[in-house]
Amino acid sequence: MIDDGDLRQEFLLEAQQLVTDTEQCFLTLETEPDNPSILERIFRLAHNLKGSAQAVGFAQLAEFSHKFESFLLKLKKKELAITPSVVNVLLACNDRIGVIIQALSTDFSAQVPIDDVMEMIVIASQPPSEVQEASLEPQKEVIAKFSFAAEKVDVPKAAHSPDESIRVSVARVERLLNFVGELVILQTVLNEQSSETEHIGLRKTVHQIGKVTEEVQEISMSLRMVPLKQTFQKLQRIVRDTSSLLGKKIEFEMHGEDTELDKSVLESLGDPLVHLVRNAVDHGVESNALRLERGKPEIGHIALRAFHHGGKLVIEIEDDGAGLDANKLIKKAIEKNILPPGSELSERDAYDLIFASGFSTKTEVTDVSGRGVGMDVVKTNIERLQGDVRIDTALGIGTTFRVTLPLTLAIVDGMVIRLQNHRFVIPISHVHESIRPNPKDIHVVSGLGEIFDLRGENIPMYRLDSLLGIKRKAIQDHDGIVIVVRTRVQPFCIFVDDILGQQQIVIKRLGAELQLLEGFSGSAILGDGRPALILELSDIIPKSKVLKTNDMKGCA
Amino acid sequence: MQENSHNIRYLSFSLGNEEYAIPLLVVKEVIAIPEVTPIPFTPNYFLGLMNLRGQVISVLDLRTKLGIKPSTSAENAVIICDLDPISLGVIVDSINSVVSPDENELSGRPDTQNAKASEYITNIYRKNEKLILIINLAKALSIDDYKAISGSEKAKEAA
Amino acid sequence: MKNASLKTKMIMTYGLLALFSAITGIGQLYSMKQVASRYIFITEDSMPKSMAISQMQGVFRRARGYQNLIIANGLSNEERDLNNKELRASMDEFERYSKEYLSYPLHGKEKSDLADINEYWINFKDSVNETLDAYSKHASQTALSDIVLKKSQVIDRKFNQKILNILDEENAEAKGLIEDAKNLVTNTEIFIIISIIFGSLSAQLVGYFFSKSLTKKLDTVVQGLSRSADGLAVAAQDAAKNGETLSQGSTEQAAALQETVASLDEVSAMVMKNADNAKNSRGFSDKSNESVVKGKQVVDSMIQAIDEINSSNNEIVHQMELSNQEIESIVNIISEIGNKTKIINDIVFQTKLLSFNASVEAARAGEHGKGFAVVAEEVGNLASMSGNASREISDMLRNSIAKVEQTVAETKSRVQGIVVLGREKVATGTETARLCGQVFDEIVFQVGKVAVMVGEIAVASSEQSQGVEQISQAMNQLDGVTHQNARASNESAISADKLAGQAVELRTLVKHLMTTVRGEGYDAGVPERILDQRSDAKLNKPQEKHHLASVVPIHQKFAQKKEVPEQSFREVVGGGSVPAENDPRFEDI
Repeated sequence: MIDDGDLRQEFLLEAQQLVTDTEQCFLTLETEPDNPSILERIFRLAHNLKGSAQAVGFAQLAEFSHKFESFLLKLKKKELAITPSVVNVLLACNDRIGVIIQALSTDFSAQVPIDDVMEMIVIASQPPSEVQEASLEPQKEVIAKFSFAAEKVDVPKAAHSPDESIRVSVARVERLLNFVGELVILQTVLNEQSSETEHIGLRKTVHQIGKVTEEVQEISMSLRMVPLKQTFQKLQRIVRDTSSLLGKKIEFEMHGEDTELDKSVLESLGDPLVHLVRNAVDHGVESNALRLERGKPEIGHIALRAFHHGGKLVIEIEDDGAGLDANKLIKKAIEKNILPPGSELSERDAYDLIFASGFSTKTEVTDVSGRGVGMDVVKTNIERLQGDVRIDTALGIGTTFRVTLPLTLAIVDGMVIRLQNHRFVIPISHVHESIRPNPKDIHVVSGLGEIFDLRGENIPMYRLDSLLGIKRKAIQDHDGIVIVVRTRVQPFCIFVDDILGQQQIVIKRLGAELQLLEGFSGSAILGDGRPALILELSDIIPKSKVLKTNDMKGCA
Repeated sequence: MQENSHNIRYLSFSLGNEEYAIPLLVVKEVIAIPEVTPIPFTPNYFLGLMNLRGQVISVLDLRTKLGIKPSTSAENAVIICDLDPISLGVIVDSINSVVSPDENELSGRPDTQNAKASEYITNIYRKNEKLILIINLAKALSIDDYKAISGSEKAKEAA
Repeated sequence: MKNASLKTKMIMTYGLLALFSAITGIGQLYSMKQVASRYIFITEDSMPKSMAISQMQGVFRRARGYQNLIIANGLSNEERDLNNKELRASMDEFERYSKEYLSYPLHGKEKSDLADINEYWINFKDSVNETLDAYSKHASQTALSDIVLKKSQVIDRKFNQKILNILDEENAEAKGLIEDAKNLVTNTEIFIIISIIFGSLSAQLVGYFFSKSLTKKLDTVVQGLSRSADGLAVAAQDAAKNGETLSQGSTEQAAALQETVASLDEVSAMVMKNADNAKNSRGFSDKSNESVVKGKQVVDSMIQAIDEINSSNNEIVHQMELSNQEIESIVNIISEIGNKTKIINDIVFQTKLLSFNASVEAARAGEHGKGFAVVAEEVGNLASMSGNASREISDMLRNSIAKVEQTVAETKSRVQGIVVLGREKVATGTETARLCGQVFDEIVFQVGKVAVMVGEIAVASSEQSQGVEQISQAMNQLDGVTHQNARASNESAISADKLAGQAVELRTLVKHLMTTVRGEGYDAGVPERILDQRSDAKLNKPQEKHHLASVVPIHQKFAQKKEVPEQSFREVVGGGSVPAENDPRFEDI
């Protein structure tokens, strides 16, 4: 069934192309009405459309295509003369097909009124000998009707100039991006070199090339962007399947499925979203009986929303279920030895407990969820995508998971740090703050290592050189920089030599030979053309001191 | 891709005083020694990362890996190899030539005590009194053996 | 103090002594007065009081006796009346003594004691009156004796006791005072003895010190005087001796004068010869001067020639340096070529890599790439060949650079050696020529000097003859002077004699003074010596006179000979102009 959707999507893309092609042919036909090859071509295209539409189950489109085809057949058999009016009808039909396709691509079950156009075809199909005069009138009327109808069906503007697209392999885009990255680096080098020259013309040209390069980079980045639609449809299916399995009646609502996202991000996002949606169906929405008991509508409601916000992509999964009970969560956490007895947490921290490893609020294990693994992986995965997940909940009213993601994984804002003569990149999303330490704020606690006193808060501190096993001469505490990281439940900080700057970096995945290397999420090419490793700080600090999280590889 | 199987072409190169060769099809390109960024927690023959026209590639020193004393000369070069699915840069002392030995010039793997060496040497090519060892680069670099890296990882954890 | 005059010292010392005696005298006077006051007190107070008390005791005892007699039996009335009268008288007497005692100043217990006594006295008087009363009333014997014996006895005992006490006290007081006075006397005695001893000792010391210093000073004066007298005597002796020597000298002078005149003849002849030689010398020196000037000119031209050699030598060095620079620039060009060869090597390396890459691409292209593979290999071969060629070029360049550098270094060192040698030689030549010129300069200077000196000799010779004449004149004058000298020496002998007499007188005076200062029998050796000398002077006197007598004939002899030297002198000079007597040159020559 899922493949069905994919097929339809693919069909629709193809159909868009077909419609554009036919339109061109109709226009040619008007000028060369006697060219049989054109008519032949149009006929073949229409036939194709009919066949494909029937195959993927778009009945209305198939029906309309059929009518259109038979009309074309008449023209082909020269039963009808090719007159401008006929061409008008043809174009109207063609446009309507475009409208249908457009409508179908947003909703597979969309219905577009076609009767008016059908009528036009019927009128146009009448032999020309019959009341020429009379035919003119309804034709005008039909055109007027058509315009009206077009407005009524709320046809998007794009329908008139359908997107042309070509299928390009990701590898090629990847290569293009590599070269664009190189181009950007060379551009910075060129900028530096040209700033020394006296040649004003050259400098101007270099500046212009810089503009163009930026544009090229932006466009190449956008090549990786794909709409969320496919993923969302998959989720819709999961909601239906899961709810029927659990015997819950749930209404599913989707918004913003056209929102675009980097393909690599989207690929990694699938599993976490499935988890969250399943969780919403299983844990979030109560059984129908319980809902009635609680005075809620019998049918549960789950909404999936995607939108851009502040240069980030936000995906919300909202349910109108029972909500989270902070006290219950804490109690549970203490029972499961995740929290030491007597711990007190803020509500938000308490909600975050569901992301802790080995935490499941459901007592009985079901097929769907409750295995105690999942939510922690969700958080880890999203963080690996440089993203964040937040929970908003109200007891008895519902829960919203808000996943914030960068638009692309290929480019992140990175902080370039220095350790002796080594350079590393830390994603800025991981850095909570960076400060030059006062040496008296650094305390050595036996058994715990170094502790940094950040305005009264004691945070374990690690020196990057010892974490990475780099031998070097120790620098003075006040010469270094402390970077505070709060992506984990327990914050920690890293002592580095210096911060060299912040810049957008294009992430390059490490080769397979380095896949087992922990602590680095990839590499990036810095301004001088040399590669630098991107630090995954939470992976290099000693595990014993922070709450354990399962490795991504540990679960499907 | 219809290769004349009787005449496979090899790229021969020097490591110390010895001459080695790898199938030309493994080679993507050869370049002069680039600047590399060292990678922590890697074995000593991992020299670091290089930027090959926007692509980040690990550079390994085959001489260190095989325990051959490296010679420093201007001829030092890096062979970019395509060991599907990995692309690697391999530093050699100098690249000599492309050879296409006749089948009668090739002899099989030598029967030596050194099991490790015999593992990666596939053939021996005798050319004008000179021996060229044809090797399997993937095996020579123990590409399948990522334990080397995770081993150092464990060492780090222990430390 | 040390610098103070003797007078001041004496006044101060005696003043101190006087002050000391005055203080001791005052002290003694005071103690004497103390002693006297004690005695006066004893005599004027204690003794009269004791006496009065003793009197009072005696009178009381008497009165008691008379009282007892009252009651005695067998007395006639006359006797009884007498007894009563006596009783009354003694009672009056007691009153008198008591009043006398009171007239003395009373102190301490004396007043109360006296009051007691008076009380006892009144009691006694009462008892007497009672007795008399009773008797007159013809009281019984027992009653009377009862009154007299019992009452009066009690009073009597008390009274006696008191009187004894008073006497004891008075005695004790007197005794203390006496003891006190005695002590005072003893102390004063000790004090006086100490002051006597100290006074005499200090007087002795002062006297000794002053006499010593005075004697010492006087001694110095006397010794000075005796030394002066001594000196005077010696001087007188010397004067006498001198007189003798002088007369002797005068005689010798006359003889010498004669000899001088003879020498003058010889001198004249010599001077003549000298003048001739001087004339000849001038001619020679003129000639040598000429040849020296010529020699100098030759040396100068030689120096110039050497300088030219030097400059051309430098030119050679300069040229050499220039050519070295040229060679160096060639070396630079060669090394530049070497650098370029490195670039070629680099390009060859890159080409080689390129050919390999081309081979790789060709291999990927499979069958289609075969032709291309051949081309790539050819390119690789060419690259290898050009690599070899460039390596050879590099080697050759390295060799040629080494060779050129070696050649340059060798040439440089050789030329430098030659140049240095040439420079050294030129320097030696220049130095020699310079020294030569210097020598010539010196010769010119010396020859000039010789000419001048020869001229001067000529002038001097004429002046010498003039001088000889002057000498003759001086001889004449000298004769007169010699005569005068003889007379003067005689006179000085006489005055020396007088001086000796004065010295004797002085000695006597000194001796007298010494006796005064050092006392009788003190005789120093110095005055004796003076005496001896004086006798010597006296002995010398006649000899002196003898000398003076012999002077005269020599003097006369000289006067006779005087004419001769004058004539010969005139001959020597040849009547040439004689410089005036006051000519400054005269003295010079």
